[in-house]
Amino acid sequence: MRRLRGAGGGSTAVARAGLGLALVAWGLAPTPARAQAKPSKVANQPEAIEEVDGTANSSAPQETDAETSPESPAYPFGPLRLPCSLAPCGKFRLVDLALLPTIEDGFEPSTSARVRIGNTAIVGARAGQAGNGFELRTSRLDFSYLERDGRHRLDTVYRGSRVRLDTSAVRRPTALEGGWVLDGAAALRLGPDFEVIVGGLYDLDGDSSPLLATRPTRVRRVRVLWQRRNNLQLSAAAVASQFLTTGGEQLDSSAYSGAVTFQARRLQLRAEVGHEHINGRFGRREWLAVLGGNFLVGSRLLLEGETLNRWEIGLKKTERDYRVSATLFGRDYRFARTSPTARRTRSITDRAWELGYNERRPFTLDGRRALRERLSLSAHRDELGADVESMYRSTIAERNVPLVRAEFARETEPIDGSIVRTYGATIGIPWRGGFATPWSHDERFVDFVRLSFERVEADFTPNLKRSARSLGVTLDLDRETQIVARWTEPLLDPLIVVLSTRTHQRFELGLRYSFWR
Amino acid sequence: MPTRRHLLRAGATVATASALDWDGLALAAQNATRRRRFPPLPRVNGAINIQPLRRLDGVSDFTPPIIVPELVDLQMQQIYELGFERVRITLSFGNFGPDLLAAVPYVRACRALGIDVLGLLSDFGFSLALAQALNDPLRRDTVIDAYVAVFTAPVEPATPQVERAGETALQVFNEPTNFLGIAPEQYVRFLLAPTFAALKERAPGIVVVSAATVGRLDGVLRARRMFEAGLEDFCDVVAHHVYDLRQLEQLGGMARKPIWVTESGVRGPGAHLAWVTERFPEISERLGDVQHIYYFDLFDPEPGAFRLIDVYENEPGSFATRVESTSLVNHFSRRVAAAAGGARHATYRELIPDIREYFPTAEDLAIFGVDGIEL
Repeated sequence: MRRLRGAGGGSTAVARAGLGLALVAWGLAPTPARAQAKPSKVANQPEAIEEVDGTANSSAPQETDAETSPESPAYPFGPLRLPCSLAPCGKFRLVDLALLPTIEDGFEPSTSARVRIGNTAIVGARAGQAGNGFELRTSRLDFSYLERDGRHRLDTVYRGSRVRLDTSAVRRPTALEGGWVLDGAAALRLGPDFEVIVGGLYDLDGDSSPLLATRPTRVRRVRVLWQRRNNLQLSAAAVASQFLTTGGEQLDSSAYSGAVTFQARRLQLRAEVGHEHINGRFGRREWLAVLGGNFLVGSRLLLEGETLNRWEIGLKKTERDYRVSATLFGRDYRFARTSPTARRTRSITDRAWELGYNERRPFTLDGRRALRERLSLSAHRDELGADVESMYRSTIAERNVPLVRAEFARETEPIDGSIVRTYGATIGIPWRGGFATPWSHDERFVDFVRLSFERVEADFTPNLKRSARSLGVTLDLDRETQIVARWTEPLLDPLIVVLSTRTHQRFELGLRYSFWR
Repeated sequence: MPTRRHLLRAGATVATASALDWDGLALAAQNATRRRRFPPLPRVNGAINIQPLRRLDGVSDFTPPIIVPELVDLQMQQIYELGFERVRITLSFGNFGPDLLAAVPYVRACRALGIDVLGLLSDFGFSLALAQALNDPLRRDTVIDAYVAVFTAPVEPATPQVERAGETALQVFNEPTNFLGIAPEQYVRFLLAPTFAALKERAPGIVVVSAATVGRLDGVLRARRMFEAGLEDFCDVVAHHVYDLRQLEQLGGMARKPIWVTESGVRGPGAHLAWVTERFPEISERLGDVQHIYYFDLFDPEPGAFRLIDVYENEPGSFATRVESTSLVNHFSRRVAAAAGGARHATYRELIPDIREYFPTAEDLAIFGVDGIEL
């Protein structure tokens, strides 16, 4: 079922083939899922907005009572208590809790929690509609198991001093005839800025099935990643793959791609190019080009745009997506790569490298939070503790608080014959010790209430057009505690009609708590 | 139980209660004589798409007359006289609507003339009615049973000189992504595969043809996706549509089963002849094992584009045809004349004295669940 992007469902009913075959397997190419997730992230998941780069002077503080700290913003629950993250916090500490039940085809609970056990590990478990599983995190090891809709997945990440090993094992549902898929990668860090990564994928069940979409059965890949300071990131990859079509045909693919991210003071540019050559009965050559940029007008208006094109030589373009948005913030906007937080993050990862921890530079809230968690569990936590806390404080100080956002995205998919237009709008009502007018400018602002609306219009054929809406409300009681509510309509695509699938509106109401967020 | 068709047939050969006037008997006897005497025109001009034209006033419901016999005759006469060997016609489901009834006389009359028929299981417009029915296991049986019973049942040749009656093959949908909004692999999995199985269960000998994709460049992408999804496991023959020769490089070699190009043509009557005489051989050569190419089309409502003829109402209740694609029609006519070798051949009217003989019978209407309506 096609559902509004960003409403949790997010996936097209049909996986797109084509160039993405190999590149997607590598995680380089923007997959449809990634592409489709983007609009809604903006509209419905405000945490996805890059938050960083403060103007506040957040020189590495000591552990203080945050209630008296000028860096501690005020929330409806009161001033944020900057938490201790190390041993003094106690032996057990709840670090994540999410209670997000949904009503769609009946009531479906969904619960997840993580608990920190001293300075040893963080353990977690989840149950409900989003899957059942558990996870473990230490300074060097991440392990997780998830079962959802009959699909079992085991993920492991081990970070040695120079080598990082990523493995995953996925067992398809029995309804899809089972079978394991193993995937692994070894990343060799040659310096704080440079990594070489080699990996592969192996499908233990190499038989075709009418129930399985065309899939990779063997993949070998190599990639280099260079993070030059914070303002330039280059990567290049080569992938050799074998694919098995649903009809049992084997395809051999070789793919190459390169990506760059460049950050200037007011401008961020992203670009990616890729080429894939597929041999065999359905041979072809495909190209991918992605170009995106964010530009800051004044201090608070951020303009964003991105275009993605995939095409075959000699044929019409197979995919063409555009997305533009404008966001007005209540505080001065900070880019994730140019802020003091970015500089602190870099110094921490460089120091961690010297201490024997293979840590890549993260530029998202979640990535930086995970970095803090791992380093605070490490044997060098005392040495790194102050920097870790400092990074957290500057993250808070550099928060971006959106007030108004408008977005439009258009995706063309000639193979499926669809054109999908997405209109999104978000209004944020900030908090500064009380309600604040949505259009004003105040560096004391924090996120408080956000209303998001999204409308998707899909043209499947000239005579078959459908639309669906989504409405969400997010209430930030403090930085760590959110109440979220969302209503989503299903988008009735032709397959739903043909299959006479019952569809339902979806309601979500829940609570999220994220310590040290 | 005697049906309308049985009575009409009897009336054409032997005096019965339904044909009691002497003039009718005389005409029947005369026709029977002619059928025995002259062979039909030779079938030498390949395949063409036809429409189950039933009215020209756009009435889409069961308002009588559901089928105007003269309109059927006009197209059938052209099909016969231009020497086509095969026709492709939409058997538009429409929940057993009037357009499906209208296809019956075309299919039966063609087959009686020895012309093979490719029946397209589809819906006119962008309706999902047939797709829904074929995906529902209970309704699928009813629909497939009806199609098989009405369109593949044996037909008697119009004259003993017709060596064999035409056969019926069935094509499962037309350009599914274009008209249904269904992704190519969804078409294979949810529509073609179950329909193929159901057809083969009821009529193992019937030729099942896959849907073609739209005959533009983006159709290549969809065709490839259908092949990757195992299309050839669920059909006897693969179909392509070719309106753009740039497709051929990509489509060539894609199929391992025999290919029928179920639509091919070019816009503008001035280009029609060259398309058939020069492009058809090129398509056959470059595409693979091409067995038939169906020209698009004999008649459609758009003037000056693809059609060979126009069908129009010249005065209330009276209809006529006008040749639009003069050079191509003349080309077809010359080939028929050359093959006929100057010998006398049966005229269309001699072979099909009354097209109503091939109209849906009471039995057909009962199968479609619309018994009691007035044709």
